[in-house]
Amino acid sequence: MPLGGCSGDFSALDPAGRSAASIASLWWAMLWGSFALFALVLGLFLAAVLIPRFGRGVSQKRWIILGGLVLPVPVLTGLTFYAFAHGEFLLRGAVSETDEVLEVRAVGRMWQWQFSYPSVPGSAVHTDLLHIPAGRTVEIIAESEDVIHSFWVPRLGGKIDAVPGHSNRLRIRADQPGRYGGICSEYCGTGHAGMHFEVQAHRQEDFREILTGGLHHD
Amino acid sequence: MRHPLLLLILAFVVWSGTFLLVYATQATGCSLGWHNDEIAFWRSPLRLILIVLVLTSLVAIVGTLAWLRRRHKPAAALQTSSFIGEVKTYVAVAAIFSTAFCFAGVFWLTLCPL
Repeated sequence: MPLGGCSGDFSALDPAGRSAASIASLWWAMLWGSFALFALVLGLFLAAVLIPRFGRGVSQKRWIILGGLVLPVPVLTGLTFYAFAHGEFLLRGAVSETDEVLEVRAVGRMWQWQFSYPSVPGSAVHTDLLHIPAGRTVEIIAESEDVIHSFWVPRLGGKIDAVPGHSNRLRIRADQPGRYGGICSEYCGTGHAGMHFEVQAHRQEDFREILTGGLHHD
Repeated sequence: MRHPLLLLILAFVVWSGTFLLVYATQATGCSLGWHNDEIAFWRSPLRLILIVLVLTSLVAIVGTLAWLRRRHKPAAALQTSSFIGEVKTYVAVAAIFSTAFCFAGVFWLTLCPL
């Protein structure tokens, strides 16, 4: 049953784009790192309890320095800089050129999302359905008309709060065409649990036509 | 404020104040556009403000450590006082390390969404 979270529409561990993959790899690094450290600490503890005179040759002060500084500081330093690198990668949205980024305005209200495309003339506004081009980074401009919501497509990237009176930005990316699930990840009232939306990633050549109604989609 | 236990946490109180200030300044600066993408990143007004804040805090914590060490003159018989004095020094050193480690990112990390 615990493995149920490893796949499916809302699994951050089943990434479908570079941004989500970056988050997933950070998560796995933290998980295996914590396993290794836990095993080491537990191993030392059990050895101290079960093996006669284990560790007696090491002074108390040295145990404190080794266990309290020498062990955690390099580990935390490594994890911190690994996280910094991923943070920078996520802020850029997995691209080097900002020209590649497509802006989409996502407005949350109790309890639905409206998506509009300021840079695509003639595009319609969609409710609970976000069209994006596959293989291109999309910048979500998250806003809210009432309370705080949070935009999250677990398989495509991180999450960002939609705050009334403020615009927050988040970059997501789908590597392949397909359908992906999105949710509101900030409790926003009695309808919060049903505040889902769908993301449809299209081939680049179809994307503009679908938005302007020239190509049908289901 | 002269209570030994309060003095014990003084350096980390400065650290937490720095955290609050850096966080608030960064969020406000991004919202008001102080980062200015048009100029070289190291000339960004927001980055300069944050660097000054962090360096000032570092000096404040080093000053706290010096002040704690100067005023700590335990009576030879008071073992507890001596122990607390030693711990205060270690805590202040940890706060200096934490300040440098936690806030060093203001020198090179991206400050605001692109």
